[in-house]
Amino acid sequence: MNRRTFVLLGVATFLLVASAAIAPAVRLEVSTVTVNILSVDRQTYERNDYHHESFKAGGSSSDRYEEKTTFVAKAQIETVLVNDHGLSSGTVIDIHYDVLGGSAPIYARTPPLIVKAGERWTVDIFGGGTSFAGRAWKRPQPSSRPASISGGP
Amino acid sequence: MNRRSFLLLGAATSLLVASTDGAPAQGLPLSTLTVKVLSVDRESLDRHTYRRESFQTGESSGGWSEKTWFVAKAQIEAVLDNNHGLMSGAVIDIRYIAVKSTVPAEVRDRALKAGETMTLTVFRNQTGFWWRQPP
Repeated sequence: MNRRTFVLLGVATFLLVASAAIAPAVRLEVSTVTVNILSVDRQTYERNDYHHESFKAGGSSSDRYEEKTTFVAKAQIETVLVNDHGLSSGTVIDIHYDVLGGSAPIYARTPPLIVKAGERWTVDIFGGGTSFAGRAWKRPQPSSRPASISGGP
Repeated sequence: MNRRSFLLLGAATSLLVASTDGAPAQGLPLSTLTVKVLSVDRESLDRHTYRRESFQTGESSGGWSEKTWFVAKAQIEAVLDNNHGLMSGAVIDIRYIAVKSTVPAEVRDRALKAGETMTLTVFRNQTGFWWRQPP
């Protein structure tokens, strides 16, 4: 291999690595809609309990848990604020979401997401067809910016 | 940069990449000993319980697993394979973990018992000697 070939090979390798590093990420399609909740159903519940105990001198024990409930809300679209999915007002969609809980302090600091039939919510959705996952749930308030509520996938 | 420097740089880069990939494959040295177990104590215990429920199908499942860390004080009677500078008569701590579980494949319930003499293989890490239990 002569010097010129070697240099060309080096340049080609560099370009290959550089192009991979700067390749644009594919954007997730997310729509934002204000919906009327028609119904809410629990789908699954999971709970993990952890117990630790030390038998050494001065040792302690601790307990913690985590839980996740998945829900599906049937919702009628009232307003489409951001439309990545060709959605239209009046369409009924399923919105799947998770509610996490546990003994960690973060769960005590953040109010859990509670969605009820008859309520209006503004939510970011992604997915397709009539089945979506919801995140960043907010209560729509006409005169002021909606407050963010935790929850989502 | 001359050709020699370029070649050296390329070789260094490939060695660096190769060593990063190969590092976790390195095994720890093992020693095989016959020991008399003087005492066995529990050091700690972790228990994990889990439950899953589906409200659509009505199915539910659950299980648990429990890991207990033990430390045994053992006197070496014979050193059969020595990679740690061990000597007969020395008293060492040997740690091991016992696993109980509702998943049979996870269970590892071999134990050391005070008073028994046995031949075992150990490795050493930052926390001392560990019993390498046969699969």
